[in-house]
Amino acid sequence: MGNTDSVQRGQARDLLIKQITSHRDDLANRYQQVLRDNLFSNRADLRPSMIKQIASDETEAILNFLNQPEFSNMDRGVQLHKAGLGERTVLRLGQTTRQFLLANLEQDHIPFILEIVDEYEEGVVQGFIKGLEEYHLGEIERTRNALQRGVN
Amino acid sequence: MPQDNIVDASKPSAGRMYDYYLGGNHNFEVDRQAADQVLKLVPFISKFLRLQRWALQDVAVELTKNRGYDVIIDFASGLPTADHIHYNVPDGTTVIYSDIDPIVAEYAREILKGTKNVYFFQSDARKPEELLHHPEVEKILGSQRKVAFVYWGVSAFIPDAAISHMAEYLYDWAAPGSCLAFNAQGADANPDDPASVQVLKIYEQMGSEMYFRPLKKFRDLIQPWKPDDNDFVSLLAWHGFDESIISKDDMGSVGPMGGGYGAYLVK
Repeated sequence: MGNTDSVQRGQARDLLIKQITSHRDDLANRYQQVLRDNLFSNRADLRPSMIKQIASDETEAILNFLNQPEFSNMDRGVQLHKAGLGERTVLRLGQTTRQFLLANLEQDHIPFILEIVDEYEEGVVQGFIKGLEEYHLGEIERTRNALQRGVN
Repeated sequence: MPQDNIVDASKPSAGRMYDYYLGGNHNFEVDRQAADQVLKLVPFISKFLRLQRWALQDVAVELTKNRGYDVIIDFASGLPTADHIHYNVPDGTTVIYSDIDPIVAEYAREILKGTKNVYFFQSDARKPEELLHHPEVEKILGSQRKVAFVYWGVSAFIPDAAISHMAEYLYDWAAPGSCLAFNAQGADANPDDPASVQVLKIYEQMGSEMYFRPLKKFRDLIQPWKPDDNDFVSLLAWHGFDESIISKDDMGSVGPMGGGYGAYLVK
């Protein structure tokens, strides 16, 4: 990446922070709507009364990703899996983030904004898949142990 | 939750079908085929069971954080997966789960391994005395009789006489101030709707007879317990939904209230 790109990327990041910070509630409301619309496609452990908190946490997670280099978006993906989100909901949240930002930011910055948002989403999806794999491996292990004890 | 063996893959199991409707992994091809047949007849069933399961999580929070109970005794628990009671209560709460299936009980103990104050016993929900007089349960409870019982997601599989017996037995056993979180499962569903008739037949053929009753009948069966001021709440209203999430065809079988109510019954 050249210096110019690096500067533009930095500017895009600052714009994103500003945009999300000043419209935090709007973004959280959009996430809340996505979560509500997809309630029946998530795992059953995600209940309606949890939606508001997850939407708010997701807004904070993006801001933390933009503000803190040490923030792990993969861990956020693991958390979303743990909370019970289905893959469709995770993808819809990402779509909502892009739509929200593209509608509110200038054309010049769009390639850099998409790059940053995609980087966030990629980590989230990787973490989500990691959470899913860990969950299945744990289930297999528990099933094996339980059957062994049951048979004995 | 329906009661049968979790590992017998020779025939569909109502318990594993329940797991499949909720998107779980503890089911076999034979269960999925039977469940898909039911879903074709009444697609709303998977939503209905989610409404029921979500309410159970709210119940766990309400009983402990809002109403202050520190002992919860749950009947016909099924597997204590990540959406079950002990995940939603404060540390230090004693949770006693039970299920009739010995393999579920073993699997459950594996899941709960090392979880403090959470126990799982093999016991029949139709005979609560079995659980309450289990020597280990007696040891855990000591003289404590002010408790919260949970009887959720199972009543459609329990005959009238057994519901009456359960209600009377628990009432007599418990101290004043105790609570019974009760799910009137399938209440006000229409057993004469052609789709309902077929669903009931599928379950009957599996050996898991179901009973659709009007809410009024449930009110009689749960005597002498009385609902608190909130009375019975339809599970649709419980989660802020209305009948728009039910298709016209589904409404013919599950009814406009979504096929179930929940209530906190008090002594």
